[in-house]
Amino acid sequence: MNTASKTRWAPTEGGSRRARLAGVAAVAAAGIFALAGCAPSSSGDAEASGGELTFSNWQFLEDGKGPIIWDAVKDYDGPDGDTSLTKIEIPFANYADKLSTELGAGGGPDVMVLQDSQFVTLAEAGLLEPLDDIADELGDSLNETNTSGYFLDAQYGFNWERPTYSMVYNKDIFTELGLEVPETYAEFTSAAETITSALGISGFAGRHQTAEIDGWTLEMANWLYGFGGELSDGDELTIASDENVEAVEAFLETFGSGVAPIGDDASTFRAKFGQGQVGIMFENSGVATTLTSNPENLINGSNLGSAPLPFENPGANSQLVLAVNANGDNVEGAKDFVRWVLGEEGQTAIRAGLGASAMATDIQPDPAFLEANPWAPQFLEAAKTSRSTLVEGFETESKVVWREFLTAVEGLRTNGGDVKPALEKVQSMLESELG
Amino acid sequence: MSVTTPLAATTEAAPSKGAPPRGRRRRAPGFGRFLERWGAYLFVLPAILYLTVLTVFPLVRGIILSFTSTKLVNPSGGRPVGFENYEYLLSSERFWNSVVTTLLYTLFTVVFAVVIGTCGALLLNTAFRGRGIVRAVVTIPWAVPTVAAALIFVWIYNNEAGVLNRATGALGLGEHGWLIDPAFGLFSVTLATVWKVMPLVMLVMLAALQSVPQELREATWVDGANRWQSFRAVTLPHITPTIRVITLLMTIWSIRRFEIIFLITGGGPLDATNTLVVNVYRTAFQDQNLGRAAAIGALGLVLSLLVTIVYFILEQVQERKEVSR
Repeated sequence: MNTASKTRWAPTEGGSRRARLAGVAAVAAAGIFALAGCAPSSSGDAEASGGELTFSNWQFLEDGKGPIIWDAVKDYDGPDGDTSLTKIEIPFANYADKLSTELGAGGGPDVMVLQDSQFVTLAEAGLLEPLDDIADELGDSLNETNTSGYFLDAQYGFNWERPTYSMVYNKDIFTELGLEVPETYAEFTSAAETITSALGISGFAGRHQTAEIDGWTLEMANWLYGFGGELSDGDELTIASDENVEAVEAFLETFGSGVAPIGDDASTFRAKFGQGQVGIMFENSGVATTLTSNPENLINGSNLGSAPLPFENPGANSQLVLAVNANGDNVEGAKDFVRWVLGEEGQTAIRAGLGASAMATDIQPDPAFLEANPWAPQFLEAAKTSRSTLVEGFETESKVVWREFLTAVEGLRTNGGDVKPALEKVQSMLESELG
Repeated sequence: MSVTTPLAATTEAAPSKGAPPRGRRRRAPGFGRFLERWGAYLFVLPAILYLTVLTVFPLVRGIILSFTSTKLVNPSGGRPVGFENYEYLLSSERFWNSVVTTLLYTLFTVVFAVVIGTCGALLLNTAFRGRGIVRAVVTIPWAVPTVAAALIFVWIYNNEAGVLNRATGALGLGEHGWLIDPAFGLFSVTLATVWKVMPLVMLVMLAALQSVPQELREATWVDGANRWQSFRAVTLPHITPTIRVITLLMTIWSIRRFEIIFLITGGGPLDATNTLVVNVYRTAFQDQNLGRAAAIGALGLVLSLLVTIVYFILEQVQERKEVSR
């Protein structure tokens, strides 16, 4: 990676005690209004590494995968053997909200895994430590996925995991019904309908409610990108483009056809898939790893099938970035930990927990893992072409753009109506809001 | 006219051995004088500090915040924007929908909780075998943690596997998207809330009913009144003040209720349960716009104050009516 021309970023007012106190007060006030509590704590930057290091990642709570990841990093003791790592577990549903609140108030963990949409917001706010020195040190060992951590002319993070999306299916069901693996949207709908009508179970399942907006964003992006759509052209929003309209119509057709369970959240339909009650899902490699590593599931490494999404274009990825809290208690220790993660020892250690996802280096999964999980290479292949859900040119407003877009899609799914005018309304509203 | 108690008189007349002479007792020592003069203030100081730090300061800070463009991730970096947040909200369809949703949720929750709770209390106030057990059982929903209750209701309302759809299907009422159809979202959340809060109303009303003098009721029966006439003439007037207070409290609590709504629907489907408080959370923590969230909070505060003012006006009207009788 070439980072020689990058401008070093300088923290803005982050070290001022007064500013931090004002920040804490502001958040506390909003807490009274919003009834949500905040847990601020301020700290000074420590020059020396070592000591206690807090590491936040929602994946620690994931069945199967979580313990493997923690086991991979828990014995890290720093370059001088005097560091201890403490895990911070926050459920995915509240992860972004809680972490943003803590970091905004000057607190938060030392090092953390972030979704890219939150990463850019925190980087823009000056809450992340620039890591250009690490990028320079490690140079060529890092692959292109790490450009996801480069924002506003600085390297604020590195690829922790890039779970990519592919189509996963239950091989046993496909064999039982004599189905071919679908390659086009028409073949996909046909296969899903056959599964539902023949077995009385869900042919397909996916997120479709704004109650799970972060996860639905990732899944809906597969449909948009798959049909050639996108939410902006880099300069202007393109919410109501013909490709987006076609994608939304296909999505609505699928969820309105009776093949997909309506109202099930991700944990429910994934559990059903694990128990052989769903035929097809569009899922990321992280979930595939979790599903197959749970011994209670009927789905395992051998009967989980994977294939490219049945669309003309590649789908999305869920980019997870490893970043350091600029106001953390142990910035230098956190940077040492990032160096370790990106090095051969760290990459090898966490590779086992991250299954078939693309990582910061080109380290390959363990051959034994690939042999036991023939579905995995498809996801590694998808990493080459998958795209982020960040809205180009509107990166820090991505969440707002997606929320309005998905709210409109949910309205169309629930109340019906013409897709084009509904998306044009969203376009118009966002243009007036975002300028 | 002064009244002297025997004990005081004895003390005045014959001070005990070792007690200070009269003249010195009149002049309290330094700390005593200090206490005499400032004691009252000292005793209320903790309460004043508590209210100032935890209520007044956040309230004032919140109102100031509502006139800024403050973001969650940069809480000290907001710039003043005047009434921009308020102008945005007052012209926003989503905000007004949120106000209407809050009022509807509050109305239905309070009416059902108070009516069912009062009726339940009347039943539990009668004598029957196993009354103690029934009283204990009906309080269980109040004791269940809200998170657990919300998760249970999510499963009850599940479209495919939920027991509610099984029941309505078996009764020929059809199956409905309790949590995915905007037409049922508010109903579903209200039902769960009433189940959760109604026992409190029942317990409070039960306590009020037990304070109604039995001899008055018996007197009405002697006069030939039936149960309904006895209830209207004796019981209802006695429990009316309690009904008023519990109604006010339930109203304020409903306006500011968050957890059960957010856990069951997250404000959806399609903003059908996006009450003001849920809206504040989404704006502050999901949109990361603290300034605008504070403005919603301030407008919500105005709504709560209006409800309280209306309550006190009605209270005064009622008192005047009673005085004029």
